[in-house]
Amino acid sequence: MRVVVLTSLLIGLSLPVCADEWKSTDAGEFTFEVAFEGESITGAFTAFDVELDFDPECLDSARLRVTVDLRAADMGDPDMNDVLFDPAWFDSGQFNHAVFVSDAIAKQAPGEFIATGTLDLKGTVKIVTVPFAWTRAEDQATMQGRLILKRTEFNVGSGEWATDDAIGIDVTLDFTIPLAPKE
Amino acid sequence: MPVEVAACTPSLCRWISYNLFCMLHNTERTWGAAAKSFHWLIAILILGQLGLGTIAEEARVSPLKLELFVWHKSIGLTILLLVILRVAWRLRNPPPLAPDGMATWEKRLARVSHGLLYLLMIVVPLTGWWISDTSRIPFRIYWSVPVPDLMAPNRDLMEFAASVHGVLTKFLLAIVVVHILAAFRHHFLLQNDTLLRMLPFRQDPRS
Repeated sequence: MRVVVLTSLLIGLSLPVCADEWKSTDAGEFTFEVAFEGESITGAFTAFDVELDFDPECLDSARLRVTVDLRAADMGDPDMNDVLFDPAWFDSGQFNHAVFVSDAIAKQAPGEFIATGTLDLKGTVKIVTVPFAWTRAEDQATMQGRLILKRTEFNVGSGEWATDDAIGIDVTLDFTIPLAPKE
Repeated sequence: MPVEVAACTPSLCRWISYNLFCMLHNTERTWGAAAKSFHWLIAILILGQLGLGTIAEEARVSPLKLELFVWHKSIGLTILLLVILRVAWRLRNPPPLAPDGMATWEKRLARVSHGLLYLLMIVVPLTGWWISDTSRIPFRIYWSVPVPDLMAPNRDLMEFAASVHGVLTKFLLAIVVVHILAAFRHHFLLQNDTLLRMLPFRQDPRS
């Protein structure tokens, strides 16, 4: 009897049945900010999708996939949005989506994690680390974070734009993404 | 005002170091250095703005276009500041008298067109600021001084402000042309010193 209990406990601990499956809701916010002629300007990705297999107590099977529709990037002005579409910027006609995939999520501090994975943006694939804070209440969870990307590493703002004279190289991404259990 | 004119007699001026007071102030016959400086500085800036604004507007989207617009907006607000200072100065220091032999209608016309010039030199930069304020493009004067944010970005309002700015700029240009033609008329046809007394580095021959 004792052996059976012990064995089942061990099995319970080692089996990766732990990850809950989450999906972003429509209420998420994903914005970007960049220096613009001595000031700063912001925009938002209005269409994106986050899939997260995640349990803070069981990170081995954690997996994050973020898909951003670059065609829905919005700077609040039709002219500027047209510029984002240009080959020099997102070239959204050719590269519709940016995709980040990570299966390596590590704990940094209580409630704080870092996802290391690959970002495929405008045909360039690079390793990126995404720090995020995790909160959960019952069947609602939120991941929130900020990271800075160098746009030129992904050819975003190429040619004459590839300096920080007019528009900064560092782009700050902010996200607050409410999640619901995947059905 | 007679006080300041009277103050510019040689005997009093001697008491003031380097004739600074007299140099800067207008007399009954000619403009002082301050008024001349305002006039020519603002004149050069306005002409520059006409070119700069047109080039910036026509340029394709590029870092250069963005830079040109920062210059255009910054210089525009500089002009606004200079014009405000100029008006304040003029209120304390009346302009020289109109040349002899001018008819009442001529004086009245001169007053009206100068009034319009001052009005447009204030309103045109203000409408430019209005465009900037209602657009989504962020702006700091000369890349460093932030401007107060007065209105929320609004595409329709921005386009309206832009058309007002364009029309008033053409109106300003027309009045500037009238102003220059009038100066030439005084100089070449009427042969008085209206033009000469505004030229830099030229002092009142009587003082």
